[in-house]
Amino acid sequence: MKTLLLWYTALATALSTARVWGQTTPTNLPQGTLRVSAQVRSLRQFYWIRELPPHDENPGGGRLGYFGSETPLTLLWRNGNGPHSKVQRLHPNTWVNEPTEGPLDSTTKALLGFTIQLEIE
Amino acid sequence: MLGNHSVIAQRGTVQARVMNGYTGLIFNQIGAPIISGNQQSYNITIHDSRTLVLEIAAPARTPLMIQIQPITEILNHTNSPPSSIPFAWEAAFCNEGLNDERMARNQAVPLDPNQNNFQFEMSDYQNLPGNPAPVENRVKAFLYVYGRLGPIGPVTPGYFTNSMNIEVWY
Repeated sequence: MKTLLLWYTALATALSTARVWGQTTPTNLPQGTLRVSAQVRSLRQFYWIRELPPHDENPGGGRLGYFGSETPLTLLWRNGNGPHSKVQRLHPNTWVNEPTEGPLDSTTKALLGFTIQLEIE
Repeated sequence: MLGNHSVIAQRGTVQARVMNGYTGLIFNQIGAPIISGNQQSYNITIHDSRTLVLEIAAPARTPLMIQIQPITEILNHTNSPPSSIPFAWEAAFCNEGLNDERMARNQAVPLDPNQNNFQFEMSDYQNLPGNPAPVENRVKAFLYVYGRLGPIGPVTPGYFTNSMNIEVWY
């Protein structure tokens, strides 16, 4: 299959080439505009409230609250700088229980220094 | 804008249209938010459903020219000066006489992003299984436009956009 792929550094060159093909003036189909877009969000280290059980007899049994905003947030639990271990939806002015499964028990969190980041939706 | 109305151009025996009700090259993706300062890049490849597909139908051997006015960044105009994120366009086309878009996509040849003007000739129809017959003696060629966004620096969060013009001459 014969494929002809040439490029021209200027439209003038292209116009002269079109004349070689037998057209006096190339015809321009109506041009289109391609819109390129992206929504960029912010990720902040955010304040939060963590309330542990009175005697911590139930590892991981604490609760979290987020107050002072009407915007829902998503908690990203991390182990140090490691990948996300758990994603947790958090609505403002509502307590949620800390995750208890996997490595996210309170002992592990205390040892490894888990942090919480809140991603604004 | 390329998009809501699929047919963008029809004059004489050459037609060009954007397929699939395209609304733009949108990098947003559910579950993978673009976060300011994360230094990541985001790619839309030729096989991505978000890739622009421009269909050109013309008689075989018709010479065509495509001119792409490139952009190198998308901007957030809510602050002054505007925040910017690097954008590198990529494109590929197929004029192999394949009227089936999926078959053509697999045969598309990448275009040199350092150039802006491209010339090619419509090929003869390929009589292959699965290749739809020409309509009114027109074969199809396909232009695919996609690209890479980033790295995402510490920019002001918000909506970033820019426009890129694509012209087809025959």
